[in-house]
Amino acid sequence: MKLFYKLFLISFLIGISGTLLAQTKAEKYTLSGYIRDANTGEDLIGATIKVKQLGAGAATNVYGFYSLTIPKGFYTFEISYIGYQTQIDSFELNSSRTLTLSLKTSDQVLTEFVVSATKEDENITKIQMSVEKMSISTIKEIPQLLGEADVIKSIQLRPGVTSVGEGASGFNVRGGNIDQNLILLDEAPVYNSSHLFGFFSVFNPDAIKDVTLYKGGIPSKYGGRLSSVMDVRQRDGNDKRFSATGGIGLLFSRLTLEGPIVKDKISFLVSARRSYADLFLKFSKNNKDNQAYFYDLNTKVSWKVNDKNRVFVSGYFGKDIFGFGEQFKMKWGNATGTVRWNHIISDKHFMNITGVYSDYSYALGVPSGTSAFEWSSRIINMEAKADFTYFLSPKLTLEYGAEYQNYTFSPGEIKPLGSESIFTPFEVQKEYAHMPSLFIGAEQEVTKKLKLQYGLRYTHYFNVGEQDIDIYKDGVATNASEIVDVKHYDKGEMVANYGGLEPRVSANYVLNKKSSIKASYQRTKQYMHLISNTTSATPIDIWKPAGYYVKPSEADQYVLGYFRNFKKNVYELSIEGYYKEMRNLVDYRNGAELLLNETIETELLIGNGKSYGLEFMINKKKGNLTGWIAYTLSKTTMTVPGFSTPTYKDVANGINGGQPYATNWDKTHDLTLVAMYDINEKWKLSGNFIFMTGRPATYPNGGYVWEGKVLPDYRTRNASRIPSTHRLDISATYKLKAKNDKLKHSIAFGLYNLYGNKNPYSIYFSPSDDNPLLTEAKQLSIIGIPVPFITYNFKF
Amino acid sequence: MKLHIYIIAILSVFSISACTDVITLDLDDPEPVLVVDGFISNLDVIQSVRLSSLDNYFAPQPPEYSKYKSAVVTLQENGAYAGTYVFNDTELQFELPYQGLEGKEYQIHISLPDGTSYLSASELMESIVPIDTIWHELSEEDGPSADKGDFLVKINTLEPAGLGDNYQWKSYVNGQYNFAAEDIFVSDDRFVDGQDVIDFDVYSLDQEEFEEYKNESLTGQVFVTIEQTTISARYFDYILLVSQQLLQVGSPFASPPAEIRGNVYKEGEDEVLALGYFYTSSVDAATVELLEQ
Repeated sequence: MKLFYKLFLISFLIGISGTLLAQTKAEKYTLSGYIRDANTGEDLIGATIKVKQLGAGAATNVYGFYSLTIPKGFYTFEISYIGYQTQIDSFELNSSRTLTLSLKTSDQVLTEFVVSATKEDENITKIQMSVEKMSISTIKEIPQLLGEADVIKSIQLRPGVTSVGEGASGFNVRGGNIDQNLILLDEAPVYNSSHLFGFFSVFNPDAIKDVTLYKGGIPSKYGGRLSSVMDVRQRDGNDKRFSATGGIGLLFSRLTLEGPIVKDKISFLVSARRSYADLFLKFSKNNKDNQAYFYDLNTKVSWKVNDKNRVFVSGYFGKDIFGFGEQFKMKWGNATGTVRWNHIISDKHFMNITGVYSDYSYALGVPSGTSAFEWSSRIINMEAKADFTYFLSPKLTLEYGAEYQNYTFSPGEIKPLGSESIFTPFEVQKEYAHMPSLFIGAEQEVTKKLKLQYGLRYTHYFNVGEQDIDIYKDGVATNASEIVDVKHYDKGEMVANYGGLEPRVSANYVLNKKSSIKASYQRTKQYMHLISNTTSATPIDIWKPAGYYVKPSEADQYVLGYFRNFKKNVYELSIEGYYKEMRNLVDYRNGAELLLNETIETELLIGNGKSYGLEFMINKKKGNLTGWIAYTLSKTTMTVPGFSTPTYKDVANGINGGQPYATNWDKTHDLTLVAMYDINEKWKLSGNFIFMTGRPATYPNGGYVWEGKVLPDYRTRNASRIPSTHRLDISATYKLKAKNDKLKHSIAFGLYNLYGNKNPYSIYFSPSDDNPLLTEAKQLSIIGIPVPFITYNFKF
Repeated sequence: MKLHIYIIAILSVFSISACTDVITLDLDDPEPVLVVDGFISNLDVIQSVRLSSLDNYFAPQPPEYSKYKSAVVTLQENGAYAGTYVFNDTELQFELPYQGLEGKEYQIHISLPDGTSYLSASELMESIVPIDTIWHELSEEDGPSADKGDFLVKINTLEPAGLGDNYQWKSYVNGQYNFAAEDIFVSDDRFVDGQDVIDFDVYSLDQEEFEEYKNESLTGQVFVTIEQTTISARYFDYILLVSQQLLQVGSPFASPPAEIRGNVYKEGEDEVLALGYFYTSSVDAATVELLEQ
């Protein structure tokens, strides 16, 4: 590891000195500014500006800012971005200047222009690997359950990304559990990304500008999770004219309003969705008093104060609400808020200051009567961040900054409701944590063929009081009955602290115009765990921070990839192999009781994980027929050795006798085909087919009768697998005639699970309904029939 | 427990396209493992223990209880010999007339004909908490655990101050024990410590079941007996795991299959466990007749 730090230092110094040296040789000027959508004024993330004569260029950062320092001269500039018409312009650069560039989207340009989905050879020349970036327009074309475009379900169609089953909450990246994904919405962490227990994600595609999933080669500015970062950015709102976008679907409808408050200066965006299944419940005699709906609201105000300063305020509020009359009510949801200030310090130096608030909470209970109570849980995360981009030269860009995060974890509280309630107040004690971080990273073009990206992140984590820590006999959290003392920590007093460096490095070696080899290494650390011991995560799972007994997790990932384009960049091929080692992962004891448990540390088992795989993708990005074929071959295992003390031997052999076992989300084969076909200006067809190995399962070793019940005897975890799953979804979109040019509307209809395959979600064992002493194996299919959908979408 | 029922019920609102099919699966026969099924209560009755063996999960039940009839099963009270169970060929169980006492610790010792022996971990018989009142009502609305018109059996009781009490409620209809997994009902006292527990739903019976019991009864009456039992913390964990492994299965929110570890160990090899559990149970019972209104 020391070698890495030396290499990092040497590379960094070479980069800096090289840049300074070059600056002394020739007179140089800087072209800087923003690249935006010509129609809406939206900043474009990752748009590129390339100088044809030099072969050099720059890309906009996540705030849409670019900076390019080149020698004085007359140049041809090529500006391009995913789904936009490439713009070419020539002018003389004889002084530093600020230039805001505007690109037109595909539907804004004449049909004879070829609109490339991305810069033609981007996947060859760009250093980033293991990144999945999907345009919202693509996401909207992929057929999904009930026709509702879904960011997370769409990203699962990419290699290396899976889930435990249909309708499951969250997603798994390269063998990581779902809590190993840092999901950011306008930089605010989202702690539960699902509506309706996982059937839909909380991201409203109408409000989203950009979705990027980092599976590897994670830049040093991101930290806090082991396996991936999903960076979702909300749209800024149209600062040129008022517009509305919306849709009416079978499950929910959505409406987005946006426009200028002050033209070209201040814009707003309000986007809302609400499901209306509950409205139909009122027509049911048995369910008329029941509630079942969810909603979310995205808001944003963007203010271009002047050429150098911009301010953004955005928020997300979402809730799922269920109720059975007055017998039971349940709700959960996220609330996030982001305030950002972008400041151009100089034409090469960009600053972003962000303040973030994120709050995930749930509450459930009985509202009235003697059994009235409310059970609530919450996690609050506040964050302040300053990050800087320094465009030292076209060959070297630095990103650096500092971040501070503050957490309050409320694992659970019971409050009696009303004077009749039989309950007494109860609370699992809160936990508090601070997490300051520093990061620095560089992207450097070492030679025409070799690019490097390298960075370091250092995080120090503090778990602080006020807290009472149970002290166990022999110092190991064995069982509540073995608590021998309680240690009190005052407010702010340090309970535990952990820290460490997280080096990241990526390299791209361009073999020729059509192919390149890329490699990356990253170390990541995670200071909190989602405590969930069900097949799919539930809304009432809690997050447990590292502390006195629970240590942070750590992962090292190595990736090697080959990238090649065919047929004039119409086809892109990528093959990536990865190997990942994970340490201090959490698993659970048999029958662990995780909710409202004051000694939850006694239910946890710590182990190590390993995942390796090969990801293959061929992507057709041009023409009437576009889409991709993705295939992943992988294996993920965990090893939990258990522990024992002189007096406590209950988990001495860990899980499966301390031998490796397949994780719940291990899928050997995962094949996806996605195709979108433009028949003509009016009709579009799209479809996707998935095939994947069934997930691991545990079958009974035998059965026995105890107190009249037939009990299964489970011995070896995940030694079997449920059958494979496959599914075909199709949809068609028809553009309707509009009475005026401003209105664009269409109808999309299709079938999810076209041939009604009963894909097994699980195989489980239970007594027969007819005879409790007769046992049966049963297969549960979540979507066992073709599900038709129709959606009306509009924009004006 | 009810929480999971609620969540599954919520999910079912949207699971119109979900389906469950019985499938054929071939499972290997397991190695035979001793199964112990018994408890001792504070009631002055014949205490019983059943011994059987692990079988193929899909094997026809009930098990062959007479397989271990020549085993020697003894009861120990506070570590001292208290009596020997005798195998009853009619009931297919080992029996011992004995009344357990609160505050005493109990365990059984089993000697098998093959020379191996097993000993259960000692269990304390906790003090009993009486049922103050029992009555029934008809459910006024539909809900996840009872439909409108179902009989709800309720009790009032007092939960003594001081954490650490664990309870199980067993229900009997016209003397028949409701042994199904759905009828496992346990709770600890974390949320009701020291409270008057009033209007507490402990059992529900729908109208169809009521009619069946009524028709089967010689008198046309339906009586529900509730046993409020105090159990050890270890047995509480065990019965909770049994319930979890039988009820919370299959759904997306199912608990993973887990080994149900009991409290009967092979002597000389502590890491080898028999299956099943031998527990103590302090019981207070109350009966109510269900009347149509």
